[in-house]
Amino acid sequence: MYGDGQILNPLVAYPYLALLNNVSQAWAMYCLIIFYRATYQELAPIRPFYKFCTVKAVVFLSFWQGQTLLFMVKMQWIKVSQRETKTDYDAAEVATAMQEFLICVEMFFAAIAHSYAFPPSEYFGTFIFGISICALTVCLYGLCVHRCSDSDGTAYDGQHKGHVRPA
Amino acid sequence: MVLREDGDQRAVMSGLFRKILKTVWVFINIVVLIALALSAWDMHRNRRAAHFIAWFVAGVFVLLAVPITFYEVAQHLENYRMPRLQRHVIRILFMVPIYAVDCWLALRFKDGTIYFDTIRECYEAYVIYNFYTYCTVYLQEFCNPGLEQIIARKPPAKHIWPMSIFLEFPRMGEPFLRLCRHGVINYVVMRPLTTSVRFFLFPPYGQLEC
Repeated sequence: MYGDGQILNPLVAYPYLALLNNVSQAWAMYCLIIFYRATYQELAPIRPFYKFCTVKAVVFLSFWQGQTLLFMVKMQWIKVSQRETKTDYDAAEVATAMQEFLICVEMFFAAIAHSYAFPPSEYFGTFIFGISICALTVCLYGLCVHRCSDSDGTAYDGQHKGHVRPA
Repeated sequence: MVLREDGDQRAVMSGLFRKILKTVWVFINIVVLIALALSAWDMHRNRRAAHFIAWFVAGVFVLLAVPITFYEVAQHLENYRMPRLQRHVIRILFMVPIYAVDCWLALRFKDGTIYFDTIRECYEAYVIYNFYTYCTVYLQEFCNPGLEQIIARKPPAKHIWPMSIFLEFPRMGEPFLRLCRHGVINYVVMRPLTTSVRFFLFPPYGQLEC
């Protein structure tokens, strides 16, 4: 009734659910992109580009990887001779297992990428007179960015209030 | 602005300690990866089943990946200066151990794949939402005019090409933010929904075969 991977069979639920997922995912991704496009100047102090890339890489690439593997099963590029390899897996299960195996391996690299994209050092900093140095640099950087954007003609008196520690 | 000397020294020592730890860790990782390649090849030569080797290799990678993230999270918690931002960062970082362990279990227990997939896909949507919230919280709390004002002062934009044919771009300001928010939340709702439909269509629930 579900028919995993039977993308051209109109009698099972899989193609509809896959289509729904794809559209909804593409729309979410598109919304993130237009949000990024509108605010990248203000987000500059937190280096949004790497953060966008790592988060998207993990979520969307793993999805497309799964789709590619299913496609490869469909095209019979993945075949299993169960007697030879001593397994009880069929081709679709092999594709799923490959996907899981690849995610396990990729997560190692994703962990490293995350540690560069979301470094704790962004929030380090000795407190001097109650103002965090790190927040101060964020604040100064923000001022520079706003100066630049002021000279471009998009004027507003944007001052970062970075030293305000949210409760 | 005089820093106490012992505090200064401690900072230097902990920096040094971190550097040594990092070097040792990189070294250990390289050794483990080489040993892993050799042992996988050895297993292949001794005619072990393919899935057995896959479990083993994937397991080692998971064991390497999880401590990195836990170290990162611990560092964030140690310097928990901006809880409203770091809360989201920690949730995003937790994606790695959750994905990794979940996938390894799915690989090991083949019949439970559907349950593990469900968990993973729901967390994925949650991470996307958290990332969006992270950006908006930053703009709201740390930039002066506030999120809505910043957006409102932007010049009007257009949709990127294929969308620009069908859709009109909303006014910059509240409507634009609403579009983005709904776009992201749509995925957070849709993903668990389709996954749960799949969950109930799968055996043992979906016994009816076409």
